[in-house]
Amino acid sequence: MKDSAGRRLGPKKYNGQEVKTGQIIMRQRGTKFFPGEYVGIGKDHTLFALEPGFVKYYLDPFHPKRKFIGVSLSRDATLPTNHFDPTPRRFGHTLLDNAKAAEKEEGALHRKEYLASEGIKKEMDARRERRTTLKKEYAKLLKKLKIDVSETDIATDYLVRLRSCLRNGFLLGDAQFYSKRYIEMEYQLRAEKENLDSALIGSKLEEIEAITSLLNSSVSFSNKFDLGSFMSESEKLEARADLVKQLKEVRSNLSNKKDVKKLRGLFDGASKYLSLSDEVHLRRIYLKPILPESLGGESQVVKPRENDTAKSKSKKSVVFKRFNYETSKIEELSRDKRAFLSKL
Amino acid sequence: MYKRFIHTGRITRSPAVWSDFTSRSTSLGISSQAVKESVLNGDKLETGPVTLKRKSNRMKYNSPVLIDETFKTCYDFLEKRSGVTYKHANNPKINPEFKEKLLIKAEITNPEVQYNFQFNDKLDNVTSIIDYSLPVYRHLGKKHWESYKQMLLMQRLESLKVIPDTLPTLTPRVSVDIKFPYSTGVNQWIEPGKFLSSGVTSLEPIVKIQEFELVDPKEQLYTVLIVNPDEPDLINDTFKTTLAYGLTNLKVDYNDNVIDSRKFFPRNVLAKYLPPVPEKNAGNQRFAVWVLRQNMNSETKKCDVIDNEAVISTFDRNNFNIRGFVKENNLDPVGAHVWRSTWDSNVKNVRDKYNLPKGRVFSRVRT
Repeated sequence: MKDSAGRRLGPKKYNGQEVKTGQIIMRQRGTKFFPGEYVGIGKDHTLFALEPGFVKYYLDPFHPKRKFIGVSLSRDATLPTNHFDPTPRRFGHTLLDNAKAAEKEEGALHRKEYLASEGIKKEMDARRERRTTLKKEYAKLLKKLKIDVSETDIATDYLVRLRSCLRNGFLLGDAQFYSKRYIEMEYQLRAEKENLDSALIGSKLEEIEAITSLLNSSVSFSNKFDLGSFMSESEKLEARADLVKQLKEVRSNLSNKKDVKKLRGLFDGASKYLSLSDEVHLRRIYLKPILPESLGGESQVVKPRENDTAKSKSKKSVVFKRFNYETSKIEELSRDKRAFLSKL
Repeated sequence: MYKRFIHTGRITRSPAVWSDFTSRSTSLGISSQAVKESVLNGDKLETGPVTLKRKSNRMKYNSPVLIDETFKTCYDFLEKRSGVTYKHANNPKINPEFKEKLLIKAEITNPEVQYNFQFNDKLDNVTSIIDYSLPVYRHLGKKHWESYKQMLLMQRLESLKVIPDTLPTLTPRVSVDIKFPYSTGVNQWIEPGKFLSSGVTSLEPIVKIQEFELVDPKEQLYTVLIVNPDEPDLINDTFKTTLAYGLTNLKVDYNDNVIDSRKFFPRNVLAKYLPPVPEKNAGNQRFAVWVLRQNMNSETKKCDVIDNEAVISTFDRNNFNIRGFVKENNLDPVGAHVWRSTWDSNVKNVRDKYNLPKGRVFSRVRT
């Protein structure tokens, strides 16, 4: 029987010895020693240093049956480091003090980032463009509504931010506050950078406060986030009650296409005073395409009499077929036209 | 002792504890009459359960046999038991912790409470539905938080080594959530450990501190510290901790608990917000949000107030020793959160905005 040559196993570095990153500390079969702090393990269980430092052979009370080899960053540190102490860490990067090299390094992007950057820039520009057009629109609207703000730029900035806050689902009060704070903070930072006088800053902040509170009480957003003149809660409720009254009236007297148009038209300005869910709810009720059969009355489903001519059938009522489960036959039924919104 | 109360049968039944809202908060009941009817009296109607949105689903629904009768029997039994518990809880001699336990016990089996909690938003809670000033909702809130968010937080804190790199350890007791509404107007609570871009973090966050324990919200004060343990320290070739934001002496209610600048004054600010501005090739930076309870004096029942002006001179925010600060001011860490930042091409704009010096650039490879 032949023996293979010795595999030259065993420690290559001893306790306290200095190592560089990647240097092999131990060659072994199986994990006679486990990798401790800043020590890695290879596929043949070779232990090697992950950081430059000093080799430490140690026992860890968390794993009483194991022996560890670790690398401590300083000569006199003991391993394992106390469980609740911050981990000792080495920064390792060097400062690039050559201005040219630093600039080059800072401009360097990963391939994916580089490829995405153009699209991102385009998107940002488009967004900025949209924001400026929105600002222009708002400035026009403020003029039209004769709301006299001392600085249009602040006012439109505020309104654009308020709109995005509301779109993102903040409650109105929070949205107003966060938008105002955003304008304030941006101004404060700019003023601090330019070393402006504190009295000047104070007066500007007061101005921002005045403008935002004026806007809060003179304009409001609809549920489609279009800006319009202000409506108080009580006014909104009143308008809603009025709308419902009209809707009921028109719905109950539908006779031709004009009426349907009128019914739809009632919802035209409704987004100003209805919340989105409320508007959808009302639309579902009053613009129901087919009235429920359980309602009875004129919209009841009836069997057409046999002597009715086809012409008279089609004029006032709609005829349709339906399977009757009890008799297992297809029945011909008719229903008043007024039960169908689209057939009027 | 409690069980004997029930079985003696000598106690006369208190009239319908759960439907009497004269002394109980209305948030212990379901606000919608239709839903309440459906939850409590079953669905005898043809239309099916009101809680199902779709009509087809409502029509398909078949309730189990005799469920309504069984429900009624159980409801009566539990309501009766709750009445007894309430009677016991109203005894002025018992201590507050025990009273809290009894109040939880009295309402935890109430179907209306369970419905309110399960079917509504627990984080952005509406006080008329989920009122955390009531012990039972606090209890349910705590259980819900422990079932996922608390575990997620601890996993992130441990795997990102926020503990022990900032403070030794944490026994989480309050739920902490952060949001950055000022910088982008985006309405989103941040998941612990998330990478945030420098634009998002360019203006200060708001912090929501949800207490579940029995504290005195009128007296208890809190400190919020945001620290970054990953600032390069070139001299020692290691890292140092910097203080990014510090607020002290904050009062937090059980419900009204989002700390934004409406809730504090300049005198509460220990350190003004400095945004994350990681340098190129310096690695990721962790920003740990620590919420600490200030020490409650057990004799005077008052909370120790931190004198900001005196304290500011005792530390250096660019080399902040959070362990020392916590020890000196006798603070108790009760909650935490963490987000991560890394260099991106917007960092230079943020530096410019805050008038910070130009960022250093480090070698890409570690030596």
